Amino acid sequence: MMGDISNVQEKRRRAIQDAIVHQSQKRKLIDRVFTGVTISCIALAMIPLGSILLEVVKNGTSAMLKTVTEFETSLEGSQETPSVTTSATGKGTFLYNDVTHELSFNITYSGLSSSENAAGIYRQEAPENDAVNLFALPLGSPKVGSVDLDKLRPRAAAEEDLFSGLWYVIIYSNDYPDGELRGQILPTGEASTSINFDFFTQPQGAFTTGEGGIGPAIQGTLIVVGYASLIGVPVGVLTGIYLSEYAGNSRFAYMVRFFNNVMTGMPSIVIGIVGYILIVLVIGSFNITAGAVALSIIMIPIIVGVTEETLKLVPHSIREAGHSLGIPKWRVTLFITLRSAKNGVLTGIVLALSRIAGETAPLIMTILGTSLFFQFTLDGLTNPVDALPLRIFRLAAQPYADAESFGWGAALVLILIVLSLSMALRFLVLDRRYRVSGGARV
Amino acid sequence: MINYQKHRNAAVTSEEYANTSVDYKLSSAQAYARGYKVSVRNLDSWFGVKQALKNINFDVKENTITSMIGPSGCGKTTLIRCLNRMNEMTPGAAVKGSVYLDDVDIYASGIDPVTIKRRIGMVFQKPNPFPTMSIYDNVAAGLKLNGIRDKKLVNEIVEESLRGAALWDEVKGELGKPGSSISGGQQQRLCIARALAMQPEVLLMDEPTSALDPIASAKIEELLNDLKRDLTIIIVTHNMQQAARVSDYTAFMYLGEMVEYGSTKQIFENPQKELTERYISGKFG
Amino acid sequence: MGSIVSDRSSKSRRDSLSSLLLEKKGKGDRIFRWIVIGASGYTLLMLVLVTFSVVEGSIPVFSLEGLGFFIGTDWNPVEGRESYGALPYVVGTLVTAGIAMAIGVPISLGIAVFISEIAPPKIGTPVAYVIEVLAAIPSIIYGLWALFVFRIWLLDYVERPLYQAFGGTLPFFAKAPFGLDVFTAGIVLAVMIIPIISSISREILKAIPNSQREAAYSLGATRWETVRKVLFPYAKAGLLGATVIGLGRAVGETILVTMVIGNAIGISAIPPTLFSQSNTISSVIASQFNEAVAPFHPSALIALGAVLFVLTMGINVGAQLLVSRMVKVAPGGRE
Repeated sequence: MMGDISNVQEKRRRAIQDAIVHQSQKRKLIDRVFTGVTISCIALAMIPLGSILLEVVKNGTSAMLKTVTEFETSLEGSQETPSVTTSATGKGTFLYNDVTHELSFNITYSGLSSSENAAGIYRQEAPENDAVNLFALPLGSPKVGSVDLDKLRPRAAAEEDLFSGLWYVIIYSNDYPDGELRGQILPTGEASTSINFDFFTQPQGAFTTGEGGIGPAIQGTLIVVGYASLIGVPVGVLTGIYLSEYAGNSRFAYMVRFFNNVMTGMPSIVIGIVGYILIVLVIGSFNITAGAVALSIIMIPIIVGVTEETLKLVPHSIREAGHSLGIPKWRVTLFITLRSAKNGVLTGIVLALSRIAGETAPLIMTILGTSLFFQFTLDGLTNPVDALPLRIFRLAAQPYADAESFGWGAALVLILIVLSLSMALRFLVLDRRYRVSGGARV
Repeated sequence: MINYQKHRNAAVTSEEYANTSVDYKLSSAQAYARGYKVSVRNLDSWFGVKQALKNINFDVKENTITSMIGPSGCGKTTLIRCLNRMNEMTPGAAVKGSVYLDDVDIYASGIDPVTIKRRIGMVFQKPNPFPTMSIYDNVAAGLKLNGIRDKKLVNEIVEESLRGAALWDEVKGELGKPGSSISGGQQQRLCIARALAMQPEVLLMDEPTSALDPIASAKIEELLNDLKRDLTIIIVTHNMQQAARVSDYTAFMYLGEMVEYGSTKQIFENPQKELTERYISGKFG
Repeated sequence: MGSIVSDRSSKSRRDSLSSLLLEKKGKGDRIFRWIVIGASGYTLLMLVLVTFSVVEGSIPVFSLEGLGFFIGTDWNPVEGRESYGALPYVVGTLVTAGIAMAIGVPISLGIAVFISEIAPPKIGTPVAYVIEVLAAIPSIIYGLWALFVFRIWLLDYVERPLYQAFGGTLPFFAKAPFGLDVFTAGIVLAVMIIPIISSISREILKAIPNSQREAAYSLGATRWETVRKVLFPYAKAGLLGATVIGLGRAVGETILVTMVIGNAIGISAIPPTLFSQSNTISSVIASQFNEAVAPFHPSALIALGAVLFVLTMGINVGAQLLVSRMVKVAPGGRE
C-alpha cells in the first residue's frame, strides 16, 4: 500500500514539475517579448528625439552660414554664336553670396576692335534657344560691381542656372553689333563658407530676399527672460525659504504649497491671459512688461518647489551650529542653510529659465512680436518686443522657403541658449572645490 | 554640598530683572563677587506633555569644568541645551524656571535668545562644520555673520581660536581647504575653534568626544584644561572615566532630576546618594 | 597648545568685542519674516489674479451668449453678427488629448518599466537622461519639426496607406488626408508628454519597497509577471496620477497643436474622422488672438481660456490627490 501511495505521489510530483518546466518556457517567452516591447518603447521615444535634433542642427546651421562661391569667365570672340574672329580678349571673376544673393563681378577686356556700346549678362538654355537678357553691365574696362539675384523670380531657379553654367557675358562693340566677346560664367570650384553674423544681429529683411536675421528676437528673448527673473527668482526663492524654514503647519502654509502645486500645471496660455488683462489692456499696447510678468508666473512655482525641497535636505545640525553661534535666524537661513543648498536651488532656477525661454503661448498674448530691437528706455518697457519662440511661430506661418530656413536657424539658437544655460550652471556656479569630495582623512 | 542658602540671599529674583533694559552688560564686579558663573533655579522642562527636567537647582563656579553624567534619557542633554536657550528651538519644548548667567536670568522676558548664544557657546556631539566653507571661514563665520568686518581683527581671532583649539599647527597652511576635508577629530576641534571665536564666557559641550576615536578624544580632553583658564565649561558625557579625568565638579542626573552634585573627587570617591553609587560602580547604565 | 587669553590686552579686546557683539540687536529677524511671508502671499495672489483675469475677460461674451456659449457651435467673429460657441474646440481638445494618451501612456509606462526594472543602472541612467532631453525641448521646436518634417513622413507612410486601406470601411479614416489634422496633432502631442509621464512613473516605481519585488522574484515570478501582478497594482494610484498629469499637459499644450491641427473653425472643427482638421481650445486662442478685432472676439477667446482653466484645474487637483495618496499608502498601508 505504501509503495502505491509513494508511487502516486511520485507521479504527481513529476507531473507538477513537468508542468512548471513547460509553463516556465512559455513564461520565459512572454517575459522576453515583454522586454522587447519595453525596449521598442524606448526606441519609439528616441527616434523623434533624434530626428528633431538632427533637423534642427542640419537646417539651422545652413541658415546661419553664408557661402561665397567663386565663378570665372574667359571672354573670347570664338565663343560667340556664330563665332567671330577678333584679337580682343577678356576675363572676369565673380563671387556669389548666398545670403545677400548678390553676384559681384570684376570683368576686364582689352583689344576691342571698336568702342563698346553694350554689355550684359544673359541666359541661354541651349544654343538653339533664345538668349534672355538678365542684367546690363556698365561699360568700360574694368567692370566692377554687383547684381542682385533677388530681382529675378524665382530666385532659386536663377541660382540653379548660374551654378549650372547657363549664364554668360557678352560685350558688344560698334563693329560687331551681335557681340564681339562672350564667355560662359562657370564655377571655379572654389567656395568658402563662414558664419553669417548678420543672422544674429540684423532684423529680418524683406520677406522674399532672405536677408537679415533674427537679431531682435535673440535680444528680446534674453531681455524678457532676464526681466522675468527679476521678479520670479526672488519671489520663488523667498517663498521656498518660507515653506522650508518658517512655515509651521498653518493653513496659510498649506494653501501656499497647494496653490503652487496647482500653478505648475496651469497651461501657459491661460497665464498669458493674465498678462493681457492686467497689463496690456491697462497700458494700452502689447508690451514686454506683460510678457515678463506672465513668464514670472510660470517660473515661480518651479523655483518654489525645488528650493523648498533642497532646503529641507540640509541636515539640521548645520542650522543648529549656526544658531549656537548666536547668529540671527535670518542670517543663518540665508548665509548658512541656503548656502549649503546652493547647488540645488541654482539648478531649480536654471530649470525655470530654460522653461520660460522656450515658452511661446504667453508671449502671443503679451508681447506681440516685432521686427524692432528693444529700446533701453522707459518707453521700451511699454512697447512690444520680439522673442525667439514667437518669431519661429510667425516664420512658420509664412510660405517662403527663406522664412522656413530662418525658423530652423532660430530654433537652433533657442536650443543653444537653453543648453548653454545648463552648461553655465555646471561650470561657472557650482563650487567645484566642494563637488569633488575626497572624503575626510582619517 | 553647595550652600544654596548663601546663594539664595545674594540671588536677584527674575521679576526684578524682567523690568530692566534688555542689554545686560557684563558686570564683572558683581560676577567676581559671587564667584558663580551659572546658577540654575527651579528649572523644569517639557517635551509636549512629557516632563524632561524636574526642579533642577545647581551652581557652576567660574573657570571650572563641570561634567554631567547619567544614563541615557536622564535629561543631561536637555539641561545643557536649556543653559543657552537652544532647547526652545525644538518644536514642542517648554521651559519654566531660571538660569542665571552671572546675575541675569537669561529666561527673563525681554532677553534676546540670540544674544545669549554669543555669550554661551556650544559644541555638539557630532562635528558639524559648515560644509560649504573653508576652515578659515568656518572659524570666522560667527564673527562675519554678526557684522564684524575688520579683516585684521578677524585674522587675529581666527588664529587665536585655532590655537586655543589646538588645531592651528595642523591646519595653518591650509586654511582655505573645505571644513569637511579634515579628519573627524580635527573637525570637532574646528567646531571648538568656531565657538571660541565668539569670545564666549561659558562653553557647553554635549558629548564632544563620543563620535571620535580615543586619540582624538584625548587631544580634546587635554585642550579643556587650558580652556578653563578663561572659560567656564560644562560638559555632558556618558563616559564616567572622562568625567573623572577632566572635570572639577560632577553632576549626576537620573530621570530628569539632578540626584547629586559635588566635586568630582567627592562624587566618585564618596557618593552621598545610593543611586549615584550604583551608577558609578556600573550597576546600571 | 595656546591659551585663548594670554595677556591683558587680549582680554580687553575680548571684552570690547563682547560688547560689540552684544550690542547688535536683531530687527532683521522680524523684517525677514515679513519678507518671506510677503513673497509667499504673492504666490497666492498669482492664482487669484489668474482667476480674476480670466473671469473679467470672459464676462462680455457671456453677456452676449449666456450659458449657451458652452454648447454652441457657431464661430462668427464678424461685427454685428457675432456668435461664439465653445463646443467644437472642447471636442477637438478631447480628441487630440485622447489620441495622445492612447499612444503616449503605454509607451511611457514601457519606458518607465524598462529604466526602473529591466535595465542595469549603467544603461538605465543614460537612457533616463536622454528622455529628459526630450522634455527640455521647447514645444515650438516640436511644432516646427512636426510641421516641416514629421507631417510629411506621417502623411506618406501612415495616413495615406491607412486611408487607402480602410478609408471605405472604417469611419475613422474616411477622409483624404493631407497631413494637418487631429491625427498628426495627437501623435506629436504623445511624443511630447512621454517624458513627463515616464519620469513620474519612474519615481512611483522607485518608491515601491524592494521587499515587494524580492517577494515576487523569490516565488519564481518573471519580470513581466512581477510588473503586471505586483508592481502595477501596488502603484495603481500613483501611476494613474502620473497619467493624469500627462493628460493635463496634453490638454494645455498650445503651440505645437496650433501648427499642425489644420485650423478649422466653428462647427467644422468637430472632427468626424481622424484625418479631419480641427482646433483645440488653446490652439484657437493662439491662432486668433492677435487678429481679434470684433468687439466680443477677444472676450470669446478669453472665455475659452476660462474653460481650459477650469478643465486643467480639475485634472491637476485630481492628479495631486492620486499621487499623494500613493505616497501615503505606499509604506505597507492598506487600500
